[in-house]
Amino acid sequence: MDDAARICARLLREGAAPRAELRALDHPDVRREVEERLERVGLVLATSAYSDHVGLRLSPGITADAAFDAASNVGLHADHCALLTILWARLVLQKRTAVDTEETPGQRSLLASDRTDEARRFTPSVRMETLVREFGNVLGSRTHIKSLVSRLRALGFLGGRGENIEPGPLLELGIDGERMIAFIRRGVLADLVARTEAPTAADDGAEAQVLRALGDLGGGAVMADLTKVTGERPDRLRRILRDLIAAGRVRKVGERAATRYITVES
Amino acid sequence: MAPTDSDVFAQRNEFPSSAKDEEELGELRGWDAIGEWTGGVDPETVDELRQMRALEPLYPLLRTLVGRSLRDFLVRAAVVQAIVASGRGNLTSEDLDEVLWWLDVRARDVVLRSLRTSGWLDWEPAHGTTPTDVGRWAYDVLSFLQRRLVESELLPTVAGIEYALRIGVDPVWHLASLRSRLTALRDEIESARASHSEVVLRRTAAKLDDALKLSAEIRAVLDRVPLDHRAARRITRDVHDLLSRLHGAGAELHAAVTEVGRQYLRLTAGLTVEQIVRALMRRSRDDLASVGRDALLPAFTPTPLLTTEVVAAAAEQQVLRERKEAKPVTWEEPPEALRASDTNLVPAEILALLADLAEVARARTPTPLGGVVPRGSAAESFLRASLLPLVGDHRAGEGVAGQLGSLPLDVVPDGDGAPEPLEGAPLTALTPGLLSPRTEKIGHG
Repeated sequence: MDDAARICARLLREGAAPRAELRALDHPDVRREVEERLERVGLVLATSAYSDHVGLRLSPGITADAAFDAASNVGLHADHCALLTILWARLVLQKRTAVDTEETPGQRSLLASDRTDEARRFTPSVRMETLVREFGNVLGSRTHIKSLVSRLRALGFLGGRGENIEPGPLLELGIDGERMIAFIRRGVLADLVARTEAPTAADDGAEAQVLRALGDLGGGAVMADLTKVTGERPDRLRRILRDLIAAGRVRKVGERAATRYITVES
Repeated sequence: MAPTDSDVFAQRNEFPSSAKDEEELGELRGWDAIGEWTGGVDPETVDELRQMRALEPLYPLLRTLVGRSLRDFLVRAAVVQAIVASGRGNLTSEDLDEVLWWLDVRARDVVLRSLRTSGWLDWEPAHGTTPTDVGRWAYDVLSFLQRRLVESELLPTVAGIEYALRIGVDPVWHLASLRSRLTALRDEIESARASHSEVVLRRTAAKLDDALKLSAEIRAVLDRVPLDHRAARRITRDVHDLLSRLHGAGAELHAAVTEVGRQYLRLTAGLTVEQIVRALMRRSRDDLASVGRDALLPAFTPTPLLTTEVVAAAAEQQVLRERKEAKPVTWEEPPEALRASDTNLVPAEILALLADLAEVARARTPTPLGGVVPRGSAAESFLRASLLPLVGDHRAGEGVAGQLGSLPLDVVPDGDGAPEPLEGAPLTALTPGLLSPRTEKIGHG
């Protein structure tokens, strides 16, 4: 059996194999031969700059059908996909950062070559208990999460044993990292912005409505106009305005019928 | 008489017709019916049930407040809140229109009638509507509950203890509640530490910090629990113990946060794993699933490669595998354990000393210490000298000490006990003295 046939057989049997064990694949002729053989059965080689493994994907010709769904093709349901997103963020991002920065958690080696080796060998992990405590309300009970992890381990997305969950080869090869990073950046930044700009009481509800109405009326108005614009009863409006004045967001000018409420610029 | 708007409204089942129906339903199963659930045991004889009977007047209040649906409950609670918050002692019909402007007039009639019938509100033609004392009390408790739901804190419980002490009530219930909260917090800390999650650890640490901020206040309140409230004092001691444990646990928790933080790298763009996890935790399952589904590439996953021959061969091997028959277990008495005599355990040097001393006792002749103590090596001589205080001491127990104590000998040192030189012996010097046989008989007792 030649190298190309052996590589194809191994990949078909195992789904993904360490690059170090497929040295022949570095030879251009062998690689071309492997790609041609795989193409004939609707497969392409899957590699990633961050992965030490080589895997297989269905060729674009196969997946071009609009009805094709990658998740259901391998029997993954919504819970599996949600867990993949979580574990990708927890495991793959760490690994990618380690490779990019040549840093690993813990003591830093003095020699650059050692740091590179350590970064390549670094395997992030997460405990089952951590997942249960953090995402139990989203993913369900411990037993359910355990069954999800078992399924993802069987498919090669996850590795590790028992309570210790590690990335499997497909977590890098079978997931589009660009999309994931875009989502995480968007999500985290939105979260941070939301937390730094948490709405105050006045930003929400009736007080905000009154402030908006004052803004629409040119920054100041009499009670009759405010009643008309907001549709609120005068006694309720008076209470809201009293609170806003106390909070320093509105000031009162004039007396009785000539009383005007003016927005205070912050 | 023509039906009123509210009656028509009630008939359409939009609102409960009145609190009267509800009360009638509730009264069917009261205190007397508890016996059906206790297997005939008189509820008066059960402390927990007897204590709860004091809450009986609250039943119609709470039952009316809850109503038949969540809508009933929320609207009625809001009406009570609005009336109490209006700050007016008596509310006329116009006042109610103003305060409850947000409630449909027909619904308002039904709700107010229910609240009046059940005791939340009082109504006098001359004064209008007034919240009753019991109603205000129940409202206060509800406001505590509402705050507890919004902010997890111990303050309402601490305030409850303080209030109970001020009015002279045994605060045992509130103290038990406080102890229960602190115990739960302690358990939560253990659970958080086991999670190894930075997010969970930080959240628990914040909760603990909040609780410990009240520590001084809690201790001050606990100090005021009177001595004659024994049950309360016992719980107070437990609470003190829990607080000190929590103080210790706080430091461990912060150490755990640091330790877990060290296990992760700071990601590019300065993001941390904790920030990412927090952001993901805010997402729904469907959101996360949708992202995962979109990002999933059409990976090829291998299927098991099996042929009939392979399966048949494996099955054949399994069948033909040699299996040893398990030996039947014979149950019998175990052999007796070997026994060793004391003589075998006593060192030869001590046996020699006992023999020498017995010889002195038998000869009934006073013998100088220099003739008995030095023997063999210096170590053996020291051993013999160190055992001399036991000789003739009847207080000694069993074994070697007992044998030495039973000898009819007295150790009589000469002079002030200063050692004198010895010649031709393993010891260079020894206190001079005699081993003197006892002449009188020593009786027991």
